[in-house]
Amino acid sequence: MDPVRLNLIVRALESIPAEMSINMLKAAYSSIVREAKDFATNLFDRNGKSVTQSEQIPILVAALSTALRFAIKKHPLPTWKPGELVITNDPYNGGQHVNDIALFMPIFLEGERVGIAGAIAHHLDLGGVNAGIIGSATEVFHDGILLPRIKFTMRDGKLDPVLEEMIRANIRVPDETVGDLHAQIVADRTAEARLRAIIKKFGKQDVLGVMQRLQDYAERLTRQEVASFPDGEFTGKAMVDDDSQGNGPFIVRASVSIRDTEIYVDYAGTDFQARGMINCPFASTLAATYTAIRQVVNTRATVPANDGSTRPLTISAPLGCLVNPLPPASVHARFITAYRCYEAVMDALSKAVPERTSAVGFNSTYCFAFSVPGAGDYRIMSETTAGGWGAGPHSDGADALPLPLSNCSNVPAEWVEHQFPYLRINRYEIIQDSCGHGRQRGGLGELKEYEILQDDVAFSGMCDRFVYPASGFDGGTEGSKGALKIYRNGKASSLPSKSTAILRKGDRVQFITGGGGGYGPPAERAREAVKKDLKAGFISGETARSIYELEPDR
Amino acid sequence: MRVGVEIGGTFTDLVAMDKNGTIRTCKVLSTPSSPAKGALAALEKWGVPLGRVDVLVHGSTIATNTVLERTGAITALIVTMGFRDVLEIQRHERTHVYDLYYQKVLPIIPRHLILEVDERIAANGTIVRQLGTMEKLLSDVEHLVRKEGVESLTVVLLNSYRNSVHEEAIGQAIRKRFPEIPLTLSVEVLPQFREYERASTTAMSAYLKPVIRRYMDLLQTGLSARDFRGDLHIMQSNGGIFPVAAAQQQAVNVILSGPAAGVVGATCVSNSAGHRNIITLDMGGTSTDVCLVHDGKPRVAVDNQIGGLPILVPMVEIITVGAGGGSIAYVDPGGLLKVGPASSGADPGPSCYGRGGTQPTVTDANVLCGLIRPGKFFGGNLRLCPDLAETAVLRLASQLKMETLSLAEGIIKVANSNMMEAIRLATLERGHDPRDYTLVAFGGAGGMHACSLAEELEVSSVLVPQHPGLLSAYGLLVSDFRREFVRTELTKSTDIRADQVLEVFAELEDRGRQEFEKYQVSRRGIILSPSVDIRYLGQELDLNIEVDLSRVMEERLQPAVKAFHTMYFRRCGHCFPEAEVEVVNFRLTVIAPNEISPFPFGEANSHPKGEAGEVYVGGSWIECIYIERWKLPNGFSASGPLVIEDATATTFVQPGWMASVDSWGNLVLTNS
Repeated sequence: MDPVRLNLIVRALESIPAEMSINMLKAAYSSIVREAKDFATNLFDRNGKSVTQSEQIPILVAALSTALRFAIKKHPLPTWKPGELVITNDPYNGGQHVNDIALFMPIFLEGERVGIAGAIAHHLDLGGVNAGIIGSATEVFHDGILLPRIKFTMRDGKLDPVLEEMIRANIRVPDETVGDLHAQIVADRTAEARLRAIIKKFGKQDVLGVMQRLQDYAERLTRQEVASFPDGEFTGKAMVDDDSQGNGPFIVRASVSIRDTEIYVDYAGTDFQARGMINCPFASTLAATYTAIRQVVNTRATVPANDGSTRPLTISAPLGCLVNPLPPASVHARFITAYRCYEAVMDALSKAVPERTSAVGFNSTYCFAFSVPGAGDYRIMSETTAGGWGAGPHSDGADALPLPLSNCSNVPAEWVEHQFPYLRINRYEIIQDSCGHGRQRGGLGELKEYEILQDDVAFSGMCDRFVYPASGFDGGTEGSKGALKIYRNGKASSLPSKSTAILRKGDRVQFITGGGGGYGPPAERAREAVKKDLKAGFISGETARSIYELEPDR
Repeated sequence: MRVGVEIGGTFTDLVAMDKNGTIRTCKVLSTPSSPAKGALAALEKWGVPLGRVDVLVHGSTIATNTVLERTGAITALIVTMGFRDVLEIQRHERTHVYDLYYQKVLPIIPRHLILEVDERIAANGTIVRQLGTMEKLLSDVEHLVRKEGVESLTVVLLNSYRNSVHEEAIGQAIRKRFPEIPLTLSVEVLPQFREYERASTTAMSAYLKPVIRRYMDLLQTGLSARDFRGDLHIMQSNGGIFPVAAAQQQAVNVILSGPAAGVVGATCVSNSAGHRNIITLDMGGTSTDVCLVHDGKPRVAVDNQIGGLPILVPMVEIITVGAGGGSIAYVDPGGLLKVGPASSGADPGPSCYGRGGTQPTVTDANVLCGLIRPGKFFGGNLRLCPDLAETAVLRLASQLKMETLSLAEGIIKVANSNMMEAIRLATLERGHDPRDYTLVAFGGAGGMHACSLAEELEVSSVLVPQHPGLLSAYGLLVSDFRREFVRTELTKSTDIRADQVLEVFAELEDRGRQEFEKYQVSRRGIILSPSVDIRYLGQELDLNIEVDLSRVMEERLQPAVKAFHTMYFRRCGHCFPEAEVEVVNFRLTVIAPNEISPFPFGEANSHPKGEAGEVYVGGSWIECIYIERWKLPNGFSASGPLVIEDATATTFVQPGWMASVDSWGNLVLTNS
């Protein structure tokens, strides 16, 4: 095929997930999809291999391929008929945690399957023990309702009515959840219409051919990059503070073997699965691993994200360990451990290709909720935090930025205070000296303080990194740890990283995130950079003097 | 006489219109080092008698460049205690998710120039903490002025959109103590909620104020020295103009005014020719701007960004894609052909300019295919070298194992597909069917690509205005005075009272009339368009709905709420008629219309004679006629293939298309 035609078809295929996301955003009901954009879309070839992906929340983008693979395992492709959909959120069969629901739709043209569309979204509530963060969960049944790879026939562009009734009866905010599921169907149908139009224009043979070539192209680029990495076996590890049930710490170990153009990652040596909610289903482990490798491979080339780019990668983990748990362990807080998978792989890769990696980032996205239950007026304010990124070989880590596996927006204080009159935000600032130091410094953490304006506000939160900070690289120092503090009657106390509490009027809750690790020895940091940080107040005079040995100006 | 002067990155365009409606035009290269001086020199050289000019309207990229290059004033910001990092923390969204070394966009005010003040207003406007004595604050400001050379001051306090008493008290104290330093309060620039967006917009206005002031002073002094005694007006990003004094107050409104002027020009020309639904296609050297104009009005958006920084002032809603004449074609590391967004710019420019560029560009491809003739480009003032274009394309072709000419045609196709993306975003993605619209192509290269794009969109008619390369400058001449006034009043629609609605709009009208009084245009008759931003309670997406004030006493905002459900349905495919609805912002658009009629059309040569030649289209050379645009008479009509040449632009009429000239002098292309 001539390169021009190839380009035109590639561009058309790339625009499909982008359009799926635009239309899904328009059709969505909940603020978690609409404002935080906690969802992702994918176009697959007729055999269920990912061809093009939307550039959104990394852990969700990478999750769809695995979910579809498992869906096909249960329902072999020849059984998929036009107008059918498969819905799944089963963590033990290719899913993430139960809140992430994937919906797949086969795309047919003239009786032949030409592709598959997929959309996944985070849903605020899927039932479960309590609203918000479920710190007490020890079984997946506590996490919420399971949708075990159900194949059904779409009715007027909507869910099967029986299925819908069943879901509605088991969750707290049914209108939002079902509304968002229908938005996912809108996304899938967008892909159907677009792919059919593209085939009509360019011909079936060529379009289906390009779907394969695009994967081969991503594979070729990935192999090219990996070939430049040194062969060998490299090991890495990362720590989880605790599992909210009084157990911990937990260790995630990764062994990364680079052989010619291929990478093998094995999580042997990782701790056994936990009693509490931090278990990471294998699909999340895969998504986190792919994201880490993608970031390192991508520093030079722009490799399209699809199933071709993961062909040279082989990932394994012993069954029954923290990153490949056995049912019915709870996986509600799998995000915490997914970050440790990401980190353990980065740690190993930093020994192989230090110039392509970075020091460790804060890598803990706090999720929390303040809720006021009332008759017919259940109010939940929920938000996530950011933290400092690890310093790179040539650049400082970013300050107060959503961490690599996430990408959710913060909520304006003026919006929170208007929408939730029981809350006020007193402070929202970057924390001085919270970074790891080095030739390049890590990013700084942030502090957000909420004041509670009425009695009996329920709080729940899950955090990590209160015990093990983000380490530095090559002589760089570690970032600061995180903390959760509460002030009552002028007295401060620290809460555990996974907490629930009933708050009173006048209480103040502080979310303190930490910094990323530094890169290289602090003594080698450019004087200008130290002075600039000092002037901005990112570092104190004491730090400038004691760590960077900066002589004060006279 | 009215004169429009549009200073772009590459060219400065001038258009003059005298009392009889006669048009004169001029296009010169810009002087990036000193755009104002460049413009003055151009005016002088052009020979327009400045003493006889009544109105000079100016559009410039100065504000945009100042922000992008971070060359604005040293500005200090005063914020509520606890919110010093509002500009650093931003909204937390990364634009490239797989970038391990991601860097946030650099705030325009560095952290050491941000001061905190102990005070607090609640979301309902009540005072939580009184503003105490300001001595400490004032001495801190004084320190920054003396030590850091601060030249502009701004105040953004939390919830000041609800109650601005503290912000204004600080403002008064500062004005008293530092009367010579420009001051910007968020309540004056944008009394709208969401602290980061308000702070970003206000800070940018403060950051630009001294720069705009200096620039305008330079221009005004220069103009006065050349006997100019008329009014100097400035183009805004909303597609309206305002006097230079207002621009110095509301500097942030000047950002991105250039593309807006093009849309205004295209809209004016199309409206008078009876095309009220159009898609504008403004293709220049580095990029293409697309805007949807519905029922004669360009779409205006409020949520805007520049260089990653939010600015919530109304702007003509333009979608830009990195596809222009200078866009470079290359093979990426995986072996795929790509075109743009990298551009050869004006310097060195495409290979065929012969100024040292060696990479193949869209313009080079157009030269090889015969769509641009070397001796006719830029009115013959820039002689092109086709052999250099060929060398550049040949090198890429051998890399791809292709014929040179098929690659040249391919480069054009790929550039077209990039532009298609912008058009899809402006139309289909927003629920509009392009087939209901006329494509209006302008800019140096718009007319060359319009037929193919129209075919793909199934659009049956294309309009190419006169002087397509100068339409932005023309837009300056025909634009109205326009300002928007806003006030955030978050209220459930069921709680709102009729007198409250009327009171807010009366206050906005008061502000508008006072402002227009200063413009000395109040006598012309002002048009007021009240509207509200409404959303479902708890959602963030709000929609702007017009309000009929005469119905408010009887029905409060119910008609607007009803219209909101309908509009939401059109946009999202569903709506919630039972759900609670919240009013977010009250808006008032104030317009003083301009009494200018569009391009009149002069007498043209009645017997145009073309030259025969060949163009490479659809994989082979076909015969075509080259003809000069200015020679085409009213009522002219011919079928493609035709290449219509103009001093500033080229139009290609594909085989299967008809070209005719309407009574306004526009070229109208129709698919037969």
